[in-house]
Amino acid sequence: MQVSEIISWLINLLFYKPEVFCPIFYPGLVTILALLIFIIWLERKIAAKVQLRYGPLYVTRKAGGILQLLADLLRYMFQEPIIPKTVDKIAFIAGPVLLFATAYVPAALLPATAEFTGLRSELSLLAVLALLTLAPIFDIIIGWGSNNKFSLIGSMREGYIVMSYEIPMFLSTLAIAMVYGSLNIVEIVEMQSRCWGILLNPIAAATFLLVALISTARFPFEIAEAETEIVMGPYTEYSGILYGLLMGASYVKFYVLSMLFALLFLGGWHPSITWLEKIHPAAPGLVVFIKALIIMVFGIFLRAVYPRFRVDQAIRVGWHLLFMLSMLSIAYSLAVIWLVG
Amino acid sequence: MFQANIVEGLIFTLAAALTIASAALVVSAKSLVYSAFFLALVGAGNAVFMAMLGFPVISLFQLSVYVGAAVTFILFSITMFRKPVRIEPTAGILALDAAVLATAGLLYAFQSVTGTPVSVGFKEISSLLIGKYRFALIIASLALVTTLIEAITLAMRGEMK
Repeated sequence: MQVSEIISWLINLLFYKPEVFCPIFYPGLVTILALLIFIIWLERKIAAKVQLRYGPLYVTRKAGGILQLLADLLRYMFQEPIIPKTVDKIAFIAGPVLLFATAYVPAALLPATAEFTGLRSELSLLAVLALLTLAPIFDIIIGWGSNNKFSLIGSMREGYIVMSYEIPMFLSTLAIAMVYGSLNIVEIVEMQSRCWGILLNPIAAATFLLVALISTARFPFEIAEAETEIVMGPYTEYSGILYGLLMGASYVKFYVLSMLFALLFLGGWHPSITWLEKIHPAAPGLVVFIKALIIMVFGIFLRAVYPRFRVDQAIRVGWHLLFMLSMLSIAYSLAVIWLVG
Repeated sequence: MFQANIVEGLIFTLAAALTIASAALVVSAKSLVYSAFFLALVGAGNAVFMAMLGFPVISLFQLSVYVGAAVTFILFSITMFRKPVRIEPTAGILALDAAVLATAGLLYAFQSVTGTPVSVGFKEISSLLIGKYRFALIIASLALVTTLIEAITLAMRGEMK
């Protein structure tokens, strides 16, 4: 085999095989890393704007300091991670890695377009939901492994909150799946070419959006970390690349949930821009990404305008409001099926 | 076909090794937190077996309920109480007896059961549940509602005082 053949085989494998392209490029790892840098910069910039500050500015001043986050990322990567003597070393080191991995894996299963998807399954929605439930395990393990009271309190808070949002998350997602009669994300999106999910079941959409904010510790639900109360919650003892992974994990989960929201409730890749297919088969998926980005910007904007809830208030929101809303969304879906058929 | 068999065999071997090793570590790990983590791995291994047998829905529910939700709850309980559980010396012998009896029972039961996967969509499952198995569904729903009422009563006890 000649070198040119090997190169073309490699290009074909990397860029035109959805099973490889989706986990690595879009909606997978490369997109996630680029988005992390942009969204954290934007979060700091929006918060600064609201508080009449400049925010990140000195690194690439002309571009509004956008490369500041790249500089921060490099710093985290080359900084020595300090491992205190009293921690449980295995849990302390493996926890962040596994937390980031469990937050990332569902992204690899999301479809880029109808034809270009990493996982072709009738149960792809269920698979993404099942994988999303694994991340809190490591949140609790790292809090325990840090052997620090602030970390443990942060983990406990995370545990309380997980219990109050997981059932509404499942119910609101299944409510929209009921309307479309499918657990396949691609099929659900294709059926939204006529009517978006948010219009068919707005209650499920509102519940899912709130759950996305709670589960990714966005304001006003940034309770497990709560800097002014418990230092950094489960992440208190972390530094260097391990801290970078922990910080990134919640943004990755937010990205996955925003993408899922765009796919289930905002019509996914509809209206489809067919000429983008000439550039790359996954390019029409840009529509989903833009929708997800708008959701993420809305989520990060809340940081600047909302105070933090207390843990008991967040749990009350979960059980009293979200649980009831999710039950209502199921009833609403049944009514829609009964009326529309 | 041959390659697919090799991949399946490899996945089965890896999942089996992971499950057996994790099951042993669940009972031998000194920390309950590690035991809970290994329990999650046992659950994940079982989910792989279920998927390989052709039951992907059960496999995914196994992953979300018995790995995601249950293990999070166990870990939360362990770390919240932080009291080391004292294990009676006789508990090990009892656990061994129970394991042997359970294995014998399962082997006997599964000798007469053949698990051929049937392709049934969730719509058919729903129809079966509200049709043929209506009575079982009502009993299960009542049991769940009772548990929910108990949980609400327990949660409100503090507020009532």
